Amino acid sequence: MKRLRNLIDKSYTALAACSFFILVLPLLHIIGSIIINGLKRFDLELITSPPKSLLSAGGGILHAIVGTAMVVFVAMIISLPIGFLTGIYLAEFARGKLAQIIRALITTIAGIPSIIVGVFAYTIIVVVYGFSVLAGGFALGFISIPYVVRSTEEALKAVPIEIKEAGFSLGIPRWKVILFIDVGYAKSRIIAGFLLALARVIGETAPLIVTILGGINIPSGLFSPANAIPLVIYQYALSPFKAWHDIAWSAALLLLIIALVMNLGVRYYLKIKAIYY
Amino acid sequence: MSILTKVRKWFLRFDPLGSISAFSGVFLVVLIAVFIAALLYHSAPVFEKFGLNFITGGTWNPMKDIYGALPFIWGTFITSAIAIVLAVVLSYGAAYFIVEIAPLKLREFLSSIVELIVAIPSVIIGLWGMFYVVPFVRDTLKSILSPLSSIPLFGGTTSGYSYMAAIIVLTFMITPISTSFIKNAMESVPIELKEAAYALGATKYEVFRIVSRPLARRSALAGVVLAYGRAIGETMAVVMVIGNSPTISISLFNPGYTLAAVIANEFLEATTTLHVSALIALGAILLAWSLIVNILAAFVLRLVRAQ
Repeated sequence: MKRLRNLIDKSYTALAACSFFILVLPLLHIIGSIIINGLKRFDLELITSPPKSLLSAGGGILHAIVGTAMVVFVAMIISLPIGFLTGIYLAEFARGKLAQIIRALITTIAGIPSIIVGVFAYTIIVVVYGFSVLAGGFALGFISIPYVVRSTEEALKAVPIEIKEAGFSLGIPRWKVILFIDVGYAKSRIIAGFLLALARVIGETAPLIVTILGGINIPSGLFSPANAIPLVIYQYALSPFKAWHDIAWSAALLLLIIALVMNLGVRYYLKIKAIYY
Repeated sequence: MSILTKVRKWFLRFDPLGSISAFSGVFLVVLIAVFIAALLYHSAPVFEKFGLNFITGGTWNPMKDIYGALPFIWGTFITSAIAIVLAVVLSYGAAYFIVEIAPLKLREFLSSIVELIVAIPSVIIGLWGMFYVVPFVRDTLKSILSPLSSIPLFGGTTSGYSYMAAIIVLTFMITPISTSFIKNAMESVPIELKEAAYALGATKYEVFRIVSRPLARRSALAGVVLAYGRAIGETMAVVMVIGNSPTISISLFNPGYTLAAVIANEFLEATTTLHVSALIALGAILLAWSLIVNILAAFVLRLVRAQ
């Protein structure tokens, strides 16, 4: 009996180890294959020049880098104020039914598949202004709102009550206490949350397919079509040409570096836990 | 109380930041309402033409303007259902390994490796899937599973682009989420309870079965529901490996389609109003599906927090 129980224990240990490695080995394989395949075209041309033409293989992905920067910038302009204020509301003022509704809504938004957010952006922006940086930025901004809200809320809730009370005891009005004392105290964590939200959307592809169109031109403004690094990876991966596959891998390496540096950098530097919804 | 005192009191309690921040919350409520209204408005034409046959119809032929959503509903259902079952099994194992077996010093490191997977953009996993998982399914997995080919689920020939490839990438992408929830719940089991079981002579596995697993159950359920939500909505990794064929097949080695994948793949090619409307209607179906999952998740999470 004792031996059987030990056997079960040992075999479960083995199975557990197996499942962990089943999970980790593909990760290593992904990182390895992206480095190996990506280094072929990981040169200066990749990041300094746009594609030569729609049909030839030369050139880089400058148009996509500029596009990603513009789309993410628009996204942050949309999501930071709304997310920051809603975070303050949930941390400091939330009471009653309205607060419950808003809280449930934030979780709901986080769970909406990103492609549908893209379709939403299509129905209210692309239909009016055409495929544009604005539409893509709106979609990504919408997606990142819950992450900004959650990180702001948790950063503010972690402020020690004594610090707030010190402010109140000096007769400072509540909004000043929150904006200048609480937010000041929680500053680094709030900024870290912003960066994590940015990292969360920088690799988003699906909503961009239906909002910014792609193409090989460097976007000239808010209302012009654009391309983005993840979108280039998708389009080039589906193409039949080997040279474009190489560019897709190199773009993937670039995107992976950006995403991992932002994620790990912020989380290790500031000791912040990953946010799941 | 005179009106004057009331006004005075209101002014004393009034806080500009409170109203502004509440306003931004209300703005989100409005935005979601617009969201749902816009999807319904744009999907109306296809429902007007086909009625509920749109949901139960098995034919999707944009050339002839015939639209039925069933192939995509089936594809989303089968890939996400199998992926979540695999994810539950793997994540219990992985969480057990991280919390109970690995040395304490390595625990943080190992769990951050698992969390790293979530940080990889899905298009990168799709790229990897196209060039490595699809050939793996075609050349290796098919022959490993060939003894089972009399079972319809594993029958037929394969090009590699298949439900199976989609299930593999989905499982890989969602397992870290449920693992993370289970791991956190197992870590928060009071050490005294575990020690009590050890003192009775229980083995590690028995402690897990009798103490940790029941206590972690609700949190695990929340993680699994969230992972499932991710699985039904995942677009890029799936569209790049599933083969994109609007058919209903039992065999996992056949190509298929999911709701999210068809929207991403056909949206730019859609020329007729009805085609666009049909794709947006697929989005509405997927939204309803994910909202139900999310409401379930919120409900479970509330139970967990109340615990």
